[in-house]
Amino acid sequence: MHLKFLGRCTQAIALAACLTLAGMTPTIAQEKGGKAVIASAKIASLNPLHVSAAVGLVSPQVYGTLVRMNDDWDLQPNLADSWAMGDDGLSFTFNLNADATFHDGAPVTSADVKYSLETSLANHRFGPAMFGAIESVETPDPQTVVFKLSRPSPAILRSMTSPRFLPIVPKHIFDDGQEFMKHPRHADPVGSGPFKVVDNGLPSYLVLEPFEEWALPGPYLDQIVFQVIGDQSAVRVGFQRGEFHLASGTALSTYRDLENYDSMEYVSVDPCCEGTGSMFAMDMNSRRPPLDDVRVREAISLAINRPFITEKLHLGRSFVPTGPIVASNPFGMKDAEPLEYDQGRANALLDEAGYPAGSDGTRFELSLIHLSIWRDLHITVGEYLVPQLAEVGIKINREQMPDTGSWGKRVSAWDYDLALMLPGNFHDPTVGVSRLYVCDNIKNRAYTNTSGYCDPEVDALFSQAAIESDEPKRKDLYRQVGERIRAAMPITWIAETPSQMIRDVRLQDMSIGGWGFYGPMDRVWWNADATK
Amino acid sequence: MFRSFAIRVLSGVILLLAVIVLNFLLIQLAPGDAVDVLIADGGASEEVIQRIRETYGLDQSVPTQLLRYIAAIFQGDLGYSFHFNKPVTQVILEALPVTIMLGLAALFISSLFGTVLGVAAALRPNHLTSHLVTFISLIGYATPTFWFGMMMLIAFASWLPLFPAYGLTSVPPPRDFVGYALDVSYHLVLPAITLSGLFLASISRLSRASMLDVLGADYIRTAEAKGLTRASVIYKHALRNAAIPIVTMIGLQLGQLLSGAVLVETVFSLPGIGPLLFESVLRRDYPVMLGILLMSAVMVIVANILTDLTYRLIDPRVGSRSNAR
Repeated sequence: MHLKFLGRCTQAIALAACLTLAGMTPTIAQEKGGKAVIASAKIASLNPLHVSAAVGLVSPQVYGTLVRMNDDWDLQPNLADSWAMGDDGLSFTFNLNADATFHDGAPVTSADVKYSLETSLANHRFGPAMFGAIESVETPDPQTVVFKLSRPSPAILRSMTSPRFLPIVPKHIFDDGQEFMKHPRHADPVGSGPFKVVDNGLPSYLVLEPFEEWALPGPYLDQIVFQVIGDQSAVRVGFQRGEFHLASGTALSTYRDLENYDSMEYVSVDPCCEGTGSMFAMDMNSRRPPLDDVRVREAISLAINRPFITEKLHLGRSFVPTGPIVASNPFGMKDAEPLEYDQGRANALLDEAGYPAGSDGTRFELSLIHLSIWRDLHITVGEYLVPQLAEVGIKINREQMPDTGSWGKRVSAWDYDLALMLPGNFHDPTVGVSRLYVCDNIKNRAYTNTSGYCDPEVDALFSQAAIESDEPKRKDLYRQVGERIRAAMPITWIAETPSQMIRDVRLQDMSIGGWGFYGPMDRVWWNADATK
Repeated sequence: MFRSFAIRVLSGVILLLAVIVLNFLLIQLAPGDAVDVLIADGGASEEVIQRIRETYGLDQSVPTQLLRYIAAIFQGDLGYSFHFNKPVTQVILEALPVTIMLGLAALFISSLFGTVLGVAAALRPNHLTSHLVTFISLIGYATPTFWFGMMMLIAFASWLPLFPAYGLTSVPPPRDFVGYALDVSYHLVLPAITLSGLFLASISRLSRASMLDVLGADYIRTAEAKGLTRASVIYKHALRNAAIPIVTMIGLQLGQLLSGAVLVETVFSLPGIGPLLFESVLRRDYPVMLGILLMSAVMVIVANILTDLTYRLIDPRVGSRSNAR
């Protein structure tokens, strides 16, 4: 009820009161005005289903979602005013905001939502993983959408909070018989989000301005400019000159580069975007001896000095993991002990497993493959692991793959002993976690269960958790499965490596956790008086 | 004259066909296709992968794909880029003007200053000027382009903020033509100087050597003995003869521009062909990559034909029947 009220608040002065009534407490009233320039990597397309992270910064501004997620991972109304789950967990009903319109003035209707869902299901790389449980979509009236499910799927709600997963796109523009992924109108989009494209200067730049009919409060910024930058020193120079206000720190920089921003008056660098849940990990091919022995896998994990990696190599910007799910995810094991470092126990386990050190101190050799991008993850850690594992008598033959395709080929063929990888947890374990561990996903494809580990109990727990609608119970199931996997260690998690947000602190009310800059900026405003 | 030109064009077309087939087959040797890269970049559901492969014809056999590709090219269709959600022709045409502008600016700077410096050095081969030119060109030759670019960026965009650090235009760009042209030129100053660095070195070295060679020739002594002015001897008699190898060099470098552009365009965030090619290789975006290679092959062939024609302008003896080799 109060949320509807929130949607009606338009007067700037009344806004603070409205927000307080609605249960939120703004520190100061937002002011209108200001321009945010985002230093962006190449934006390949304005198709919201494009996989690249750079497109992921644009889509949330141009396309709206049914619901949104705040920094505490709670759902909030967006294009839908309210929603409810059926008692059996087999349906979700959404009531659309009556004021919601597309940028061409057409109302956002249930037919558009139905079309959007079908489009995402068919074309999104995780479409079936996220929305596969949806059997049919009913549209009893233009303002009401009912999703009918074949099995309970509580993860669906959070999958609907990001336009990178379920953007609400206009059926009247796209549903003309052409393929959505090839549609020419992506160059000149009619969005449903808080900002509209006014100047598409890609591949150089993109200018967005507020969509005046946006049904919720805001947007406050007068303009958002995406300036495409190909080089990290240019990003730094731009921030130094005060020309940039926002950038993603992982796409172009190393952790050492991020230190250069500390001295800038208005610039802050923070770990962000918990929704993507980036976990840097090492896959262990458990088909091959000696990695088929759980003691060997545990010994390898114990031999890795993770605090050195997170504190020294990553300068405190990454974190020691506790299990398969990053701690910032609601289903992460926040209270569990971080993974240990104990060379003595590692040596003892290797002896016990029957791999004594030879005359030169070497127990056995293993191949390690890794990528040549994300320098501080793949290369720096890959190089570090060689002497580190040599200390317990494991000789690592490190192979740096020239590009993603070559790495993918080796991983798909299971042609490695150890492989560094960066699997995203995303917002829900059903999307980004279970795929790496369950028996029926042992596939010749990267980011499936390539380690070959199979435990029916783990599968049972994952499937139970996927359909458990009660969040505390769900958490407990993921804790159980996490502990079980941690004991078997088919993958050893090296560091939780959140994205880094480089931000001018005068951009106020920027979402930092949650989806971070992969979320809408309609509530962001410019406060010239703010300081670091 | 016409006949030799026609032969050049015909051999150019055959060469192009060979380039297409070879490039296509070479690419097949690289592990993985665009969809494999997509999967390796974070995973994907099986159903979606199958659908993508079908949509873009990646499920066909290699010979079928090659035949389809060649057939499409003859219809003027370079294919469709999966990554950009756009026809390849459009992707390339968006990037090409940037690289051409940058390349021509760099070529102009390096030809002009390279020749002037080389000639100046050749005129007084043992003077300080000559040693200075040698020194500068060796430094220029040995400096990695990306490092030089970054130094320019730090010096003239950050430390002494005279020039923009990134992009081809201001955002939003000026609407009138003159304003736009000035804006683009302003943005191209640092990148063009950076890219010209490498060529400047080789052109000045070459023109110095070539000029020294010509200055020692008998006909120069004859011209001087005739009582011609020094300027007339140098510019009419010596430089014109020394220019042939210089023009060859410039023509050859037109082809090399692309590799230099990869680095310069990356450092200065220019949306040109260079980074596009490099990233397309990494992404296994074959249609874009093949399109660029095809286009650069065309450019090199055209540059060679133009170089040939230029010889005729400089030296009337070239191509005339009595002197045919």
